[in-house]
Amino acid sequence: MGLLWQVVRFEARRMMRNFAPVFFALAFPVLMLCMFGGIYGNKPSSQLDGRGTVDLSVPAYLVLVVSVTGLMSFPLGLAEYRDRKVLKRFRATPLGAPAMLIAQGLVNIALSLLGAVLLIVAGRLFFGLHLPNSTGAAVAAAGALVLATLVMYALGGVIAAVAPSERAATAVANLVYFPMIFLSGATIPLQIFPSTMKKISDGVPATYAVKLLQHAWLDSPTNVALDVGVLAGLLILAATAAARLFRWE
Amino acid sequence: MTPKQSGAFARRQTPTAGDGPVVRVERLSVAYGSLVAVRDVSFEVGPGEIFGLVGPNGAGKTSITESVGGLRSPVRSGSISVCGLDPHRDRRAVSRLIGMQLQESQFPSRTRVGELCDLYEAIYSEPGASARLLETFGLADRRRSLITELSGGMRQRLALALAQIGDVRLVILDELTTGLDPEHRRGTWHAVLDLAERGVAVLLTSHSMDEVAALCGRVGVLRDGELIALDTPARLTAAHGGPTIISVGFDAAAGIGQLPEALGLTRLSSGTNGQVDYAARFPTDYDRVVQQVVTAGLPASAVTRRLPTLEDAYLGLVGIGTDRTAPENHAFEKGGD
Repeated sequence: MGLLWQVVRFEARRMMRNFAPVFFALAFPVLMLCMFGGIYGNKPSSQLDGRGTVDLSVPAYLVLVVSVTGLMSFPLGLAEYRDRKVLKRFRATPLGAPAMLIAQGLVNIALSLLGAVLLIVAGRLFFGLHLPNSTGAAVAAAGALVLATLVMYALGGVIAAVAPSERAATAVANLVYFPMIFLSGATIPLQIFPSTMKKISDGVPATYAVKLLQHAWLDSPTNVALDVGVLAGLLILAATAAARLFRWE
Repeated sequence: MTPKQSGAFARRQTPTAGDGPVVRVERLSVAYGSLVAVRDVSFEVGPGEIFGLVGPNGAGKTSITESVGGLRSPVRSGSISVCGLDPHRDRRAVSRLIGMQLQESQFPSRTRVGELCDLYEAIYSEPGASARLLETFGLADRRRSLITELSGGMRQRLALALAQIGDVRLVILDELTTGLDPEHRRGTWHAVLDLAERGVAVLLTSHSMDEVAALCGRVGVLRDGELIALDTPARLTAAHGGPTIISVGFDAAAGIGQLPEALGLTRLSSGTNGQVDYAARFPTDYDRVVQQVVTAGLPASAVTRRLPTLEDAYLGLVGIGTDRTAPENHAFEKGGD
């Protein structure tokens, strides 16, 4: 355990020097929130089913935070380590290669957690964000976020597994990440999507995470069984595929 | 050609380093699917010995070093032991005994030298071990540097330093000095020699024969996965390096005419550098030719010689200098080297 902690510290230092994930997980969602919160405030809006912009955005942006670490930072870190034979280097030591990957996963999850906290604190401090109104709702929201996180990391694992190289992984991650965040309501509210766009968004996994999280947080209407079913099914599929397809070299 | 097992030979044997070989490879064959990468290879490396593996790309060097390091699972047949342990079955225990420098393996990005050292110290449970090593390798003031700020030579020295953290008995060096300038290459050589001096066994691969000749007590030559020769660099050179080339300046050659041929020397095609080359044996033939030249009243300095090198022996062995039997072949026109 002591050794894994050392590896996590090592990976955490490397992460702090990695601009893109740090910016997109910590600063970008808060900046977006400040921009849209600054424009629209948090007053209930008829366009958003009677919810305030900030209340609706924070749960959605939480999915954004776990997507950027799960779909971009995590698989790109793995692909880099595999492509540059760093995994092989550590496989030749008593540490072994899996510890490096576990440490990378933990550091990415810690980064998302920090991003989530910053987002909630900023929403609360600047715009009077409403927190889930019961302990049960808070637990449900946390559970939905954990499920969303696991799905994104499993998908990231598939990206790392199927991409033949670091460059290919970057391309695939971008191709998956951008539709995922823009078509799912994670950045632009689903409530303002026209019906065609809503149909498209039904094909994007993150949509179910956004709906589930908003439901848990705000009690907004959704088909909970469908959301949980899609996410859990995808988690099982993606995790199995990633574990099966992952190459250490 | 039968590989000679001269396990008793070790250039630097430390009596305190325990008995028996550190590495024992017996009749190792490695296959990937239907492709046989290594075929029936046997050798031993003793404590304090520097053992070299040479051969063209794809000859099986990496398959062997990675099998010894426990990185390859498909050991099809034969056995490997490192300090009496099986590198694959006892991977964890063996990895504590081995420091490995892999040629294509890069360091993690965005890392400082000191952080990497701390990590290795934690992995090998030897806190503070890197301080002395960084000092030795001239990197003591570089702990705060990012890996990307280091020169290629510094990175290779760092790899060599990291490979020594912990109680390692064997260091595997895969093309350690590729891409280094001559100064750093020499520095790295000294570091490897120091390592062996302390009783650590070294298994290295290289494409540069002067490096192998300078460092290795014994050398195994691989071709198509088979060990086709195993001996000291000197004996390999003597046995497979071909004849010594004796060169006589044009003027002097005219002065002595066909006399060298009369001694039984084979005249090679004339070099472009104003001299005539003969394939000969050193030193007897050389002394005779010098005598002929001096007898003809010409300066002895008109006669020069080039002894065969390990590289000649290597090229002959792996079949690149295929026409060694035909001395007119251009392979001998190396007088200007």
